[in-house]
Amino acid sequence: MNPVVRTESLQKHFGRTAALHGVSLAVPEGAIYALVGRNGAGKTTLIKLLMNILRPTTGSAYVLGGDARRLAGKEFCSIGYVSENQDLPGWMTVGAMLEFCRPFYPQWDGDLADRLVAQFDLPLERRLRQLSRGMRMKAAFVSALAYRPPLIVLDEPFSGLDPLVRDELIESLLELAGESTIFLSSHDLAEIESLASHVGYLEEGRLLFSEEMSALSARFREVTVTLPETAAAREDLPAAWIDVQVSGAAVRLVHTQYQGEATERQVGEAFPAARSIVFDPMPLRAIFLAVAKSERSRTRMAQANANARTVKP
Amino acid sequence: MKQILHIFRKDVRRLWMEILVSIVAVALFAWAIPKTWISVYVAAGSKPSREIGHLLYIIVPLSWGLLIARLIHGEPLVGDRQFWITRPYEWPKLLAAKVLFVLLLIYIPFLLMQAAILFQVGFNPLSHLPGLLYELLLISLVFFPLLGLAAVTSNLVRMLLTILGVLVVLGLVSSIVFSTVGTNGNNSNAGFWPIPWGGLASILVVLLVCGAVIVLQYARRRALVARLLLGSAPFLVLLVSFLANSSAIIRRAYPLVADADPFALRMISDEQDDARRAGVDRWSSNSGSTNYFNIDRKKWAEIKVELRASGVAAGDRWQLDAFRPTLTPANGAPVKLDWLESQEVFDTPDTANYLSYHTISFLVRRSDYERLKSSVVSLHLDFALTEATPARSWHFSLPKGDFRIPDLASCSAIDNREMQVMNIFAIFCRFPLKTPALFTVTALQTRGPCELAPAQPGDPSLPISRWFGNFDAAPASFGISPMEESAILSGSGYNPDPKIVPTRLCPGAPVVVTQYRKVRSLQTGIKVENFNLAGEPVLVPWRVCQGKTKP
Repeated sequence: MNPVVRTESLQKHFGRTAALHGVSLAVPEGAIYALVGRNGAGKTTLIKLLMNILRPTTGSAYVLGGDARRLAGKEFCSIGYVSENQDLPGWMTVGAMLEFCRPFYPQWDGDLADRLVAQFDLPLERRLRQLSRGMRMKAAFVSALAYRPPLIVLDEPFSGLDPLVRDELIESLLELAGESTIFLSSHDLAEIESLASHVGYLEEGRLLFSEEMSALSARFREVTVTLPETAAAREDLPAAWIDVQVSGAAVRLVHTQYQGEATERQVGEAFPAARSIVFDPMPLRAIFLAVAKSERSRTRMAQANANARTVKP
Repeated sequence: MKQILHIFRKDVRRLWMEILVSIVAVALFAWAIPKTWISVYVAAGSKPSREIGHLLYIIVPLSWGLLIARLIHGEPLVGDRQFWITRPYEWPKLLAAKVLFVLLLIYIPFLLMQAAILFQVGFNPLSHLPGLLYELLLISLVFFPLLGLAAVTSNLVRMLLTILGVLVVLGLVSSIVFSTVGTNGNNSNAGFWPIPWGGLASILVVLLVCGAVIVLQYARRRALVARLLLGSAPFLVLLVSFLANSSAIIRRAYPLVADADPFALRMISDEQDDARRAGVDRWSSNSGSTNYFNIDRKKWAEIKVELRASGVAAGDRWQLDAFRPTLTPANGAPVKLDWLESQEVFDTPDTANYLSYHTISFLVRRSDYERLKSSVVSLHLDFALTEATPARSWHFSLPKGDFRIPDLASCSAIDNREMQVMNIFAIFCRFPLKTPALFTVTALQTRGPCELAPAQPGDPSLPISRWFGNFDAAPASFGISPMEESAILSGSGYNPDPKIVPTRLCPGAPVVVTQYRKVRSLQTGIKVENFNLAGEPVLVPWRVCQGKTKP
């Protein structure tokens, strides 16, 4: 199956600041792909590159099979884009905005638009600038979903919204999930956990992983090893074991390549005196925290080494 | 087309208030501007409509600027948060919608306003259609930069700040240039434009650059590149100006006359001319005065050269369009200036008409002047001349009040006592779209009060004459109003000496208006040896005498 969104070694620099470092990802058709990461990780930049709002420094991006740098005009009939940062035409009423958008899309589904307006309880006669942030996002959603685009791109769509509004928006998205591929960014793990089929994690412009949610949940395990006496710090553990913490006789770590019995055997061999070894599945939030902490410590170490090399004569 | 009209309708709905303001301002302009003309104002006295008219010269362009800014910023081209950039807008259609808006709601009202004013004055707008269309091109010099600025800014505030910044920078640059360089012969020739159709080349440069900026922004949204391109426009205009003033271009517009040509100029001495000068007040306003104001006299010295034409064929006129002086000392480097604009007209000297006598002047650096004045210097003058011959004449008795010179102007004879200024009579004329082709107006004055003394033909002090117009081939000149108003003739003026009986233009005075057509342009030159630069302003005691104009 051809990916709907694909990037290859995508880089973006703003002057001397690198916002993205060689990001490569692929979003299969029908997926709900959640791009997660902290604020400033580069999620919005990546989405703007995909939407041809920004141009990449190097690398390439493909959207719906075409080069993202050529994305313009009619191609946007197939893409529904909503961003928390988007400036809507505030002088228009909700109704006027939807009426203005309609002729641009031959496949505009008036019934769906009406249904969404009713579902969101949108006041058609109110100007967009007079609406609350949540209401504006709802209006943007209607204008982006009513033509049933094959690709829906959402940049932090739920940020700062109250739970009720967020649930309404997620519900509307899930209605279209079967017919559209959804690419969304978020820094709130909880809100996408129930929604996403695929997930990518950006940390300081680097994509640390990008895979199916089920595969991600399957390969991450929190391992708790209980030793007979106080444990010493271990430097000889495999690279796939991250976020290693020693507390008294307990060693806790995150195994990033869990493969059932083989992994359990491998851990048992690393800790032959262990009284017990427990492998717990991890929630998404815990996975990201572990990966983020590990990445940060790796970066700090690399930075310290680089500084040490610089200081030496 | 559907998308174009769809966006156009949206813009009209959004900007109906600004459109209304702009159209009302333009309509008011059409109504009020004729009331600002001096003749009308004098007849009607002070009225608010005159003040409104003057105010509209500011309000109308402001309303256009606001409308253009709001129009373009409806779909901003700068930034990465705009709603429209991720919608199926096709940029050529978006641009076409904006162009349609500007055409229908700015250009067309402007055209109609100009036509309405022409019609009010009594000119048929259809017979001036080429000029009216050319005015649209000229007014694009306002619209296109505004469109370009709107295209490289994200909102009205930023656009206003940009305009303010540009004005501040231009002001600083010009003040720095003025304080370090000052006015000199090299930059006072900025108005001399030997290319036919006036400054069309500059106009096209501005329009092309702004057009490129607008298209680039709509097609690619490359704000930085577009801003740099827009910023380059003044430099490109300067470059075109520089190229237009190059010797090659001037030689093309004014072909050189060969030495063997009977037209070559020669010099005559002061003495030969003294007899002709008797009784002719040639220097009443020029002698000892300066043609340059606001210059630093410590840095610059003014040199004046008196010119007189002779041998001009009867009826013909020669207009001195420009001259180029070169001062060469016996030892040391010569001082060579660029072409300097002039508007002097030479006619047949035998008529004893002092229009034949002129003084041209130019500036040289003080340091050069000090170096040259103690040396034997030769002056070389190149002249760019245009020959004119009478094309048509109008003879009439001067009426009091409004009258028309058919196909030329709508005029008013004003008794200036009503203006509560000096005791003279003036003729003010309104010309459609541009200053007309060169013409003379000659009238016979009356000595003493109009009601007592009739005109006395034969008295040399009674004819009064003035040249007016030029040979610019362009069908219109830049302006919001399509009419140009000027005093084409005024009486001899107030003289405080009670022994001198004043002369006046009076109703019924015979008036002759003769309009000329261009025959040819050429370039020639003279060399004056032993040029004495002592004294200041330097009034060079030489006469330039023209030889035969025709083989």
